[in-house]
Amino acid sequence: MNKRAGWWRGHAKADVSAKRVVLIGNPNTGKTTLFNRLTGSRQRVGNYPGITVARKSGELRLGGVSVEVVDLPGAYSLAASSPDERIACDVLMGRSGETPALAVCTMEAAHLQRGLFLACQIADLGVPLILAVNFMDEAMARGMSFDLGLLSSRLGVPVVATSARSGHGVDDLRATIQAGLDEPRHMTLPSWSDAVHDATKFLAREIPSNHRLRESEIRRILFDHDSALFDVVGYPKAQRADLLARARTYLTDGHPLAHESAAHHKHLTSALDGVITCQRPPTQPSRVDRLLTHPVVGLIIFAVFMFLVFQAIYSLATPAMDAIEGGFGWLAEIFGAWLEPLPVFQSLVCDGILAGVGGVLVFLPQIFLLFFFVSLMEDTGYMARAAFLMDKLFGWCGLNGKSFVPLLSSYACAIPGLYATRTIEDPKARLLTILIAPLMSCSARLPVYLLMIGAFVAPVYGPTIAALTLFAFHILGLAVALPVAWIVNRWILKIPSHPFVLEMPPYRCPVPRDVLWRVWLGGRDFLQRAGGIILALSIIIWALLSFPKSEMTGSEPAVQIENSYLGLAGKAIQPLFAPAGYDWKLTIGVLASFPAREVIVSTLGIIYRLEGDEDLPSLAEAMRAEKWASGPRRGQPVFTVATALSLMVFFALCMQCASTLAVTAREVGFRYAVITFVYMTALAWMGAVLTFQGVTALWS
Amino acid sequence: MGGREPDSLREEDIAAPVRGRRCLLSELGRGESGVVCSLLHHLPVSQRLMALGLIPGCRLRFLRNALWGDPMMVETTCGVICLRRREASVVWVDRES
Repeated sequence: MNKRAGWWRGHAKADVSAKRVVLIGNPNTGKTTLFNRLTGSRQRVGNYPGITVARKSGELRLGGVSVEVVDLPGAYSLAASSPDERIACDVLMGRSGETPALAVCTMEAAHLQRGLFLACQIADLGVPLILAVNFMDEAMARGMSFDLGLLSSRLGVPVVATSARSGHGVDDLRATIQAGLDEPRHMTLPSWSDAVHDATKFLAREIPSNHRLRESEIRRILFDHDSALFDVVGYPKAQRADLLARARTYLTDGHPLAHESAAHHKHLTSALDGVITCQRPPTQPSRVDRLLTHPVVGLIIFAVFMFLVFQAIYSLATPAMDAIEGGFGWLAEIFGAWLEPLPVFQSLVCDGILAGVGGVLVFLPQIFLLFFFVSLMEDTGYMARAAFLMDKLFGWCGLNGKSFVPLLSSYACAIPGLYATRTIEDPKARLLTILIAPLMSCSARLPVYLLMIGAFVAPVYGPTIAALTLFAFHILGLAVALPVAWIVNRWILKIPSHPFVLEMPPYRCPVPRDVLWRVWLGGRDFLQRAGGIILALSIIIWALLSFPKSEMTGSEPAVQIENSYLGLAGKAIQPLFAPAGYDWKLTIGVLASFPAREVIVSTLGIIYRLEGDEDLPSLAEAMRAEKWASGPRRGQPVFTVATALSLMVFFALCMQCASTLAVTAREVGFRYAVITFVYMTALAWMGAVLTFQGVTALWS
Repeated sequence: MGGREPDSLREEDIAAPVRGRRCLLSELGRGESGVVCSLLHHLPVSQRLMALGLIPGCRLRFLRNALWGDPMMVETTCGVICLRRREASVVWVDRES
């Protein structure tokens, strides 16, 4: 219909003629398993323009013809109150590309009516349908049996029984899709009452006409509490409530907002009559479930489970990470020897590119392992129980129970933590979790804590206080993060809160193929989407540290750092850090560790001109010996307990991780990466100054 | 936004022969079960709950609370769901003995 747009798009994307099939359904209906079964490995993950929902699509081959299958996020209804939720509606209406030729609606056999409610809404948009009744095996085992032929003839669309996990019915579904593409079938719905027609006519009149909303879309505006479709037409927010109130006066039969639900459920109740022959007998929740969700025992089990998971991640990922780092160190040596005659290139390749690539790959083991455990938790149904148990702890500050796993995994590293936030459906809670996750004390902060505590706390106050200090700094992040979330939620983010309503899926055995596939996709996604940025950032930082080249070539790395752009910047902004007790050397160290906080130790090693290896004791020695060269505190030692604590507070709170910023930008947008950077850096500076001034005042 | 709307359920409540047995879902106690009778439709969460299957006539049973009493877990004819008490207070339920 839009030939010109199609003409230029044809060059960008070869396969414009491929028909599109969307896969939609309630959460926990095995939609992803079915998607994997249908498309195999021919999948692509992208982003819908402007919002943060991942767009998953794949290719389905039907007798030599290629069909694009789009996997929509799980939904219970098409009522959309946020842009993220609008996506299902947009795709079904063809607002993001081509109108789908067919929708496959998956539903759980045991909860047929709820799945069919969504199907009714899809049918009402005018999209041809196929119903895939999944988990047939589970329902039959419970003693239910279905007359799907009767249902199919009553609704006028094909109904396919599937058990996606075992693969039963998938071939049948494929054949049905092929037939459905040739001869699309629409689900029969009773026509809307005159009142609804009058109301939609009224809305069509009132909403400016150049937006071309279809009648079915106007019905969504009419029935939904606060439809995000208003944003499509750009209707002024202030007038929406009034317009809707006037339109809804037409609907006199029952509450207007229950009108659609009542109509569809009335239709479905009669359509389902006699289809299910044996109602599910009320099952007692199993003893295991009672234990796992017990308010106290459940929490203890969860804590133990989490401990084991992170122990496993730690003990399994560390050797792999060491191997990656070792491998890249070895590569750097080889290239270093080979590029000896070209010092600038040698430095670019060894310190810039190889360090950057290694810095990207080193996250992979953790990401793989975390995705593995998160998939296990989701697919077994335990994640929902964990969210139920943990909700109270996080609910007060705008997060929800599902924030717990990402936050906990951020204690190892924020990167996999940010990926784990994908399990949070509520866009606001997810955004908040992403904003505060980098405050968790990740393992890269540990070297700083160990250095400072080892040099200034342990020798003076003994090992017990030292251990307590280390523990306190691990708690500090969380203690700051929750109030930050509360403030951001309360005063800054103007996103309406989602209700925390979760379905507890039945316990199920995960499909190994799906788990592994998700692990692989997660890792691949990280490499494709964040890897490039991280690499680019590390090369930029390398350049800032290596240029301008100092006159005396080679021998003195300390001179090079001092005179590099970053070193000059460090000297220039030292007054800013003076209230926190830092001299210019420490300021350079702090600046240089903005791309990755763990480099502080090696940078300080270079700055304090250590011979040979930068091991902690000798660095501590050098730091203790350091005296102010000028200024009011001339001759006094730079490092006191106050400086050490202030530096640790700075590192605890500061956003010194380019990779985390890159992933944040990729997951929720550049804007939020900037916000994270600014608020954390400001917080860190204030914390450091307060600590230094406070401790100094107490001591003198 | 919709908070000013008259609460039509109060009238229903008075007219109902089951008065005294009607309560909010959030007030349902340990081991109690009931039938959904209506929802406070002017609150956005109602639409979400209805999509999950909490429609009038749906039978449900209180299962348990999390620590500190919130959120609560309820078994319904369309599966087990967990919801915060705030959200549960939009559903009117007729208790069953």
